[in-house]
Amino acid sequence: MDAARMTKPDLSVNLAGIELKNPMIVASGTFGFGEEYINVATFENEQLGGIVLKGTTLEPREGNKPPRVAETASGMLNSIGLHNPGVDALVREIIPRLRRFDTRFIANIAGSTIEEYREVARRLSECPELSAIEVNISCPNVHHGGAEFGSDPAAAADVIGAVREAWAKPLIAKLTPNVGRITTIAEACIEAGADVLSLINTLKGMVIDTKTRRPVLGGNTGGLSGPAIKPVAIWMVHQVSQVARKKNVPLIGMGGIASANDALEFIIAGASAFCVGTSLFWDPSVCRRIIRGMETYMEQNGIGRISDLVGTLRLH
Amino acid sequence: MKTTERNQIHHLICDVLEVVSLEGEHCLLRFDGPAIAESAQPGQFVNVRYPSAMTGEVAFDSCRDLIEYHRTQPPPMTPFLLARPFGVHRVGKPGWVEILFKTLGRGTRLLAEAAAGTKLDVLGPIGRPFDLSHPPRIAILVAGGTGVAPLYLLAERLHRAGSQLVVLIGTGHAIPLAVSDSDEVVHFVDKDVTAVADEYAALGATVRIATMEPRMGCYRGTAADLLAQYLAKQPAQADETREIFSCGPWAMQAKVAELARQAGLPCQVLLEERMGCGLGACMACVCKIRQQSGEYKYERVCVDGPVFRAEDVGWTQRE
Repeated sequence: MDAARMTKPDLSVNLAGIELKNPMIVASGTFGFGEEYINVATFENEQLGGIVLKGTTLEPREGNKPPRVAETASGMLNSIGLHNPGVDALVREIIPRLRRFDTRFIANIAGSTIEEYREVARRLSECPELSAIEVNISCPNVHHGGAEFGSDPAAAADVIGAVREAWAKPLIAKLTPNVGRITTIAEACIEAGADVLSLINTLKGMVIDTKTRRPVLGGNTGGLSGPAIKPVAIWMVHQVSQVARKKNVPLIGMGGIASANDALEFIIAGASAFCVGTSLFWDPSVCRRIIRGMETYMEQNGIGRISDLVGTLRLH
Repeated sequence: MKTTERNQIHHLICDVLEVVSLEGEHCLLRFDGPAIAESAQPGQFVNVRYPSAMTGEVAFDSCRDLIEYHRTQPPPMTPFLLARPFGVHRVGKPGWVEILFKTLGRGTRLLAEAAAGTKLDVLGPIGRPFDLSHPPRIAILVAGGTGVAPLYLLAERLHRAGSQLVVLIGTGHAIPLAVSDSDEVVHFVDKDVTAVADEYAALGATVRIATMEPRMGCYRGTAADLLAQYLAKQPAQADETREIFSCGPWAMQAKVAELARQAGLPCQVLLEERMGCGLGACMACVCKIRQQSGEYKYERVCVDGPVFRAEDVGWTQRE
């Protein structure tokens, strides 16, 4: 028996100083504020490398009017619209309750103005429970802010720069796929001080009810997620990894991951960690299966550490 | 509802035991799920889909003929991903659960094609159940369409708790339950309105059915119309407590809530909304609910409901 089969594969990851027990994180907006899945018998927060909390703004937000989801071919559209209780409720009521879970917590912040992003980050900086902040410059479901910032390199740099001033720990910039050249935005975010890039957020789309000739979603348009977007996400992770690698900036890849093989694709494409999101909605046991499947893959391929697999893509 | 107040949610791969097609494209599906059968409370729901590893194959196997399937259902459809929520209709020993639904879209149509032995991926029971801490002397159950499904489990528990049941059912035309004529004399409808749903009648309930299309033995109108008749013609006795329990389409329940308010009766309503996760995480299935401060805020139908007090629901705030 060779050494690789004797020892358990090492899934731990160091993401710009954040030590994760494994590279599997749950994506912002798909996991509430960290507690919603704990009543499910087949789920444990402790199996996760990390949890990204739902997007949080300075003031509470009501979000968009329902219907807020629509199933599509191999995916779904959502139009939640940053429904959240505001940063003060997060700091006072929610984050203290998360101490009991042995995993890493990452806040996701959003705003309509650069000043709002900075202030939310400043207020979160008093929470020792948070390992990092993910800056959402890519929400497709709000009229001001969100993807507006993420689709212009200068605006993206301004937001990341402002948050950087207010937040000392690792800073993650979450990129939108709804742009012409994602690498330009990625470079601007790195230049402005992002330690990690996460991608992709949802792809903007619309579903129409042919009976009423109106959009199915109350917010008219929504963000597409699920297996339908995975090839787009893989391609973008690969592209961004080419520029991020030069600056030693790790990536968190996401978009349609529903199996260990999906997750491995992202890692090979260049992501150091990955997020599971929409697939949790239909299968809460997906996380368990992904970890098991990754371990099996590593054992079978003689890979001792998952970090050795990152960016090992061999193009034709 | 806080996570600490919620019950454990089981995640099971369940065998379908029986699928029965009922009139009006309704379907009764029974599956084996002991953990859910034992713990489900009235008003709670289960999230049902085909198991991940089998998505597609199961649906098409049960179709027997894939080509025929694609001919009758153009264009070819991908299997559905998101689980579909269904109120628990009945539970029984040894450990089975029944759901009753109308085939409306892709998900329900594929589920209706399941057969005995088909595997289903089921999460449940989920949600805030009906509050039965003070069972009323007379429980008035008002069901619109497939709203009759989750109210059956409630009727059973209320019956067990000693409540006298009045069950008012409204449908378009098709009634997804066995129906027969009753000779019980009631004073709130004409003598020729005699149709009752057998399984409710078996609980000793006074049952009447309203249909939008004319149908022998049924009242012409809605379940809310039946309720208005009942409340007008059957005033409460001095020592009687009465409470209304309702499930059905939004417009019908809004009328039921208004009638309850006018009559000064407590009323609990079971709401439906399009869901993403069904577990409280995605914030998709929201509805405006009055807070203690008096202002209305979005709450999640899946875990803050699906049962709410009728007076708290923002009935006019949907658009």
